[in-house]
Amino acid sequence: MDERSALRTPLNRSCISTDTNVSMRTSWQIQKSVVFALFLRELKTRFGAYKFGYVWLLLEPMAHVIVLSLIFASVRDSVLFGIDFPVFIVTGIVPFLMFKNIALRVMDGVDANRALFSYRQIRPMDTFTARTLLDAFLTVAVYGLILIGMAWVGLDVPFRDPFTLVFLMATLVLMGLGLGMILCVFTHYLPEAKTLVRIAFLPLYLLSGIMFPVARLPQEYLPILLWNPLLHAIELMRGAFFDQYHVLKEISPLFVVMTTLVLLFFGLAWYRNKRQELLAR
Amino acid sequence: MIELQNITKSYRLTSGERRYVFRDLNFSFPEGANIGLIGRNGAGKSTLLRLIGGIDTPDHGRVVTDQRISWPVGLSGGLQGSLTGRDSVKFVCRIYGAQGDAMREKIRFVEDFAEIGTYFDQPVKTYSSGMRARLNFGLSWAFDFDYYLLDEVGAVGDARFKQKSRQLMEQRIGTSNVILVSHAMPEIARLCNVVVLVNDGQAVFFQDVDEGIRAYQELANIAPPKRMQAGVNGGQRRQEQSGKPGGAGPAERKARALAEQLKQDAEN
Repeated sequence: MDERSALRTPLNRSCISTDTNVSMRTSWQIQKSVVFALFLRELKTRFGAYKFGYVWLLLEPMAHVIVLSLIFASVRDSVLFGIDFPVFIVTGIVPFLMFKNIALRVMDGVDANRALFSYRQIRPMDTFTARTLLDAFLTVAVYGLILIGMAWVGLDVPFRDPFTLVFLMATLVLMGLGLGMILCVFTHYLPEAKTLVRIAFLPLYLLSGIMFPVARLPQEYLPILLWNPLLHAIELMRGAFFDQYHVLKEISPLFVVMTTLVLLFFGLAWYRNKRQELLAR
Repeated sequence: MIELQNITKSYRLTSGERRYVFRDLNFSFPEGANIGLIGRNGAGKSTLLRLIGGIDTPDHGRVVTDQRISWPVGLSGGLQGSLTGRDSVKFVCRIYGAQGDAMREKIRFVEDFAEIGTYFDQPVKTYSSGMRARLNFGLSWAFDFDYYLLDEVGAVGDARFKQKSRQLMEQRIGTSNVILVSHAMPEIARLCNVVVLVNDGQAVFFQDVDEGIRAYQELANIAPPKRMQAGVNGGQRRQEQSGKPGGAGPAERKARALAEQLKQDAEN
């Protein structure tokens, strides 16, 4: 495709192009090439600046695993339902970090790429998509490498039900995108809230069942804790990962899916409604 | 064809009220015209340029066009510090769908035009501002558009680069068109076929460039002969700043600003 067909097609209602003498790219083609270009740009930007940028990607979740393993090795019985503790932590921390990264990156997607919107093909939604895809792909790669590494050192990595795991990961990706979009529009009107949102992920880390199986938590707090969809998602993933993991009957896949749909719906609707104000200077 | 239909554009101020830049603006530009946008600072020239270019969207109304319109030439914000010059060119090629040979051709063009040597493969954050500008201009001229958007683009860089930029621009104007925002009336007079005078939420279209320039000068309260004379000696705003003979000195600029202030006070 040559550059003669450079116009944004009628996707944007304020600019109807009716070019007839040059070959036009379809909206889909433009969207695809823009998302791909942004994806590569984000990838290079994130890691190109540091020599060991790619290593840090593995180190972050591994650091959580190692620190938590060390702390808990002395405090508690290191085996839960016959599960190796480091593997248990990985199955919680990796999806959580992915969700957090996607939500926060999408939240910053417009501000970080503001200058790029002078290229008329690039819309905020494209930056959301590119950032979400990038973090999803990176997480899958990191997850795979860590699990292979753990199996290699002799830990038990059952990976019982891959299909359910993939489904749950994909749901978390979309949930992160939905939440990120809502946060993006919200913090456009209230930029001070960005710091607060970042801080809020700290208690969420503690409340999402990353360090404990939900069955071991004090049962009187359960009704409150169960409002957290991340807790459901992580428990379900562990159920799909380990053979002998006990998932409480209160843990509901439907709740995870519904939360994702609601967040995604409101994220998309609010973005659609306010997308021009997001771009205004 | 570029047509503006019922364009209304406003911005929200920090105080919460809205400031209207345009209300119900309607006009259509003639086929293949080089368009000059003139008006005082803050009148909305750049906003109009961005609306035409599809970079900004109006509150109401729409811009109808079948032309390929560029991003603002020399746009400085599109570079990411940690990416190299080559990566930046590749990025723009990708969003414009230039792949394979087309991409290689663009990269070669920008590399030749920018003349920044090995820095082309260094991170952009190591560039001087002149080198950034060279890269940005090369990038803009590498792509073919029907209309190039020029927002107060004074020539940047050293004399040789200025010369080269100017030549390339004039050569492009032979085959493409420009929409030009400028305060340098000689430049407007030389390059444009029509002008739009932007003032106070209104945009007045002048088929006759000289007439438009006269209207602007009346508005800005600048004596025409003096202004024209400044133009003969160079005309560019940047050269005025360098304090060359014939350009406006600091004292004259101050006086002009004061006159502007008085005029505004009188209006209120």
